[in-house]
Amino acid sequence: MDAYSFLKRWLTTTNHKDIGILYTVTALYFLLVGGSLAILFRIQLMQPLMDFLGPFKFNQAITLHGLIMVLWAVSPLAFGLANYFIPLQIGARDLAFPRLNALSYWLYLFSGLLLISTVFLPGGGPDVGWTVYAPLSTAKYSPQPGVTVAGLAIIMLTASVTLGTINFIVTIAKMRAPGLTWMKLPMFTWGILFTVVLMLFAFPPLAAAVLLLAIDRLFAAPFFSSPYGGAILWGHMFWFFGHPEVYVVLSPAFLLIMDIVSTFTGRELVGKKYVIYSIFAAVVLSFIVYIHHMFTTGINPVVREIYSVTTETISIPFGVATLSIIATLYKGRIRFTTPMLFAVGSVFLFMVGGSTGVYLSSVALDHWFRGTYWVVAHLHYQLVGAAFIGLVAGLYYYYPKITGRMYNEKLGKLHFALAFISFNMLYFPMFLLYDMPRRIYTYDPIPQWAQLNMIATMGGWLFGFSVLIMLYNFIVSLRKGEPVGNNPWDAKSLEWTVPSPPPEHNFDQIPNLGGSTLANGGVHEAHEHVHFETLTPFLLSLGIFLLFVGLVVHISITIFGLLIFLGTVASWIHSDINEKYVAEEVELEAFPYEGIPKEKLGTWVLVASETLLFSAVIGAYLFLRVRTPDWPASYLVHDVRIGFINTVILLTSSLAIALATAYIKRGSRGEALKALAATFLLGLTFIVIKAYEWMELAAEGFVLGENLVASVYYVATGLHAAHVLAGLIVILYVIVKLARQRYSAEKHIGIESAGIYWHFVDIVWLFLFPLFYLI
Amino acid sequence: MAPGPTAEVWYGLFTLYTSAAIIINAVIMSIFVILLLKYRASKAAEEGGQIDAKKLALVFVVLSAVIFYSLEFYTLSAMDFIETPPEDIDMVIEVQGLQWTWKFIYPNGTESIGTLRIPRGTTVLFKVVSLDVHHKFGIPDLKASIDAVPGQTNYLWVRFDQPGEYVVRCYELCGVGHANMVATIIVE
Repeated sequence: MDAYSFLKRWLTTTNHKDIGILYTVTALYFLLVGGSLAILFRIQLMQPLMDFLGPFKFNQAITLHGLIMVLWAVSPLAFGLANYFIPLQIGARDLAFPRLNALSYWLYLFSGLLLISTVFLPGGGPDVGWTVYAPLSTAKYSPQPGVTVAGLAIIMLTASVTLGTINFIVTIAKMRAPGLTWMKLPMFTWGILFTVVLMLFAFPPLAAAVLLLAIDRLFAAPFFSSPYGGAILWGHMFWFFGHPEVYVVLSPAFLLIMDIVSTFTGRELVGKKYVIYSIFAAVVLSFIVYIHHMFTTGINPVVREIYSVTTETISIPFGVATLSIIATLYKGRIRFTTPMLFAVGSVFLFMVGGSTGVYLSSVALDHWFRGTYWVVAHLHYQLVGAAFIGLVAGLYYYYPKITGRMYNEKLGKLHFALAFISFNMLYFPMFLLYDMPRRIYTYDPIPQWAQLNMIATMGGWLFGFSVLIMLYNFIVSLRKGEPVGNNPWDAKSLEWTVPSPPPEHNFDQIPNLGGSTLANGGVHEAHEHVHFETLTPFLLSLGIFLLFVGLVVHISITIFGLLIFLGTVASWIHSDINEKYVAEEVELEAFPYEGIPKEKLGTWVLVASETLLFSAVIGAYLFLRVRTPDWPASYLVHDVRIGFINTVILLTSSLAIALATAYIKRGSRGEALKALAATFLLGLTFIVIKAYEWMELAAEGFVLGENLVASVYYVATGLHAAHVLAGLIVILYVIVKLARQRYSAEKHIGIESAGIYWHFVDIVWLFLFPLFYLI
Repeated sequence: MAPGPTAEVWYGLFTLYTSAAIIINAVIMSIFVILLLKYRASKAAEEGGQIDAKKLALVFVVLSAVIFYSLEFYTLSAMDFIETPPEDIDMVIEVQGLQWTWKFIYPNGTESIGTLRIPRGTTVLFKVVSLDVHHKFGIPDLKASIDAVPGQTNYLWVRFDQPGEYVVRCYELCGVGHANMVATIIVE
């Protein structure tokens, strides 16, 4: 294959298996970057008073290591497998929205490159720790642009994650093969489902926090630099994301292990139902335990006691799940292949990590442990031991399916032995270093610290080397491995019923699972899978990347990026209006699925994620307002009449779009067009009045960055206005489509989805109006 | 003898948690290893028999709830002890965290940077604040620690029962000087 067709294939693909491979390879690349950083700072910590990196580079290395590993490496590695295998496991031909999936990948890749590129900026990359604690992260204490750019990278990643969550939730909910009930889904599919639900609720508040931080840094708007609780506000916003994020990283790997154990014991997972209930309970609990990250900040003791209890409680469901894995071994026929070894090893490490986490849930013990190496040891047992090693089990498990060839088993076992031993050398000494502060670049010559750090550093080298063995094994086996059949492991789920590697359309006939666990050949209509290619997702992401890079390098790059961005959005909309891809998308969802169409479900999921975004901003406003003395009542600052008029306008526009939906359902296009035009004009009026109001306020000196009151007002109403503008673009789009006769009484999902979104934007205003005008 | 009452209570709780963790992990990991060895595919397969998942899950939930909540009970009483300053405070010291040192202010207003001298057996209440970013004031030997947060005052009480030099470190990343943010408490 020549270079051109190679590039064309990988840059334009929208096939879920291709995207899965792209995700996996990219995640492995980021793992190597994050791992190399770890090797560097472990050298710095090898001996007391070592002179290797120095504090500036050390702080950048640990910060980038944390951000890359948590956000760009381990979780995306799971999504590589998920992209490849979820459609295969549920008997679908692709994900629900293949082009959005490609966009999700390219946004992920470019956001990661944006993050890494910060090291070339003057002042270097972010050096404030992956938790980005304020006020250290505000412009006063960390003025270098690298911190802001890292924030932009996180916002870009959030966009990617949001698209991914919508895609996976809709796919798993709507595209399962007939007869594949929820309880028959493989555990890995459940793991991804739990993960995307967690992401849906956890990432928007992170985006809100990072957005506020960016505005704080760029416009001197005192959110996190506020002396009245700014530091604590960051803690709340960050850890509301940060704790669920742990389960985001963990759950795909942990549940994938259950499938692997079930395969290599030849037994069903014991109590599958209870495990699913348990993990569901843990998902819910994960949002009400995050305060344990803030036990020592001076929060009310009663609150801390409650969170201490909920945190200890969350160990119980994970205990049930662990026990179920162990019980599955009973009377099984255990085959110790490489994936099985890694799976079992990861369960052992998870138990150590879990037990040491119980210490941290205890407020009294955590008083001391917070900020020490005990935390470092615990979190690496969970995120590397349980999550990453679990995913390594997954890589070995699925390698023959993806490549059609078997990896070298001897090298695999060598990798396991070396990884398991070196892992414990690397991280166990850190438990014993529970008096050593985290994130110090040097330490006094205390003999015990020196010995333990030396062991950890050597463990780190070996662990890094063991990963190279795996990569070598995978690369060499691409050519030299034994060819394998459909089901080399004698496994039971659907992905093993198709050839290795699977054909582009996955299934010749979509399987029917009514009554049995394996496809029994029940025939539904076979469809041709039309492969479609588009460069738009790649260009769109590249445009955003250049736009952000230009902000700190040169404005011409920003303009260039903006042009690419606008051009690709226009081309996307253009191809959609002409329904270029519609045939294929209808094809994908060929079954008579009852109930909500997938576009509508997707819109609802988007609305859920947006709700969290606004809740986080409104929550931050209330938090700051309650704490700040002498906050003026809103009606003294803002003109209630203008707010009231705008409220009436938006409510009327909601009515208008509801009418449009009703008209199109009856088939009257002309009436629907009028109602949509009315909605558009009302929305536009809202924006014009808003702009007038802002200009008036600015003339009085009430501008962003002037003080906290003004800054919160502009951020909340500005974010809302941006959503109104986005809504207007959507409405314009459906107006054009309607004018071209693309909608009818039977086919009007576009108008309905636009309506759902528009109603949501109006409802947000119903919260903002009283909060910012009346009280 | 422990250098102070907070360290004694903390180590007591730590030992309790560690004993529980070791016992529970030893039992479960042993069962794990035995099952792994016993049901190797190379050995003859045993037929039939299925674990009653419902009963197993129920027993585990009840058992672990009992263990966790009893541990939590001890945690709450330890928390109460560590966080509640005794009635008879001998000395109130203001501690200011700043990039990258600790400043101590004695009751009479005298300021000292990096060193604090106090008599043995004194019950001290530290009023901990930050002048710039988030720090964490920690005395490893006493297992006593509290965050120094800008804009608010946090309290920490300790008693030094043994004379000697005690190191104070910062336990929250606070910039390039984080590693060097060390102070000494001299107990005479």
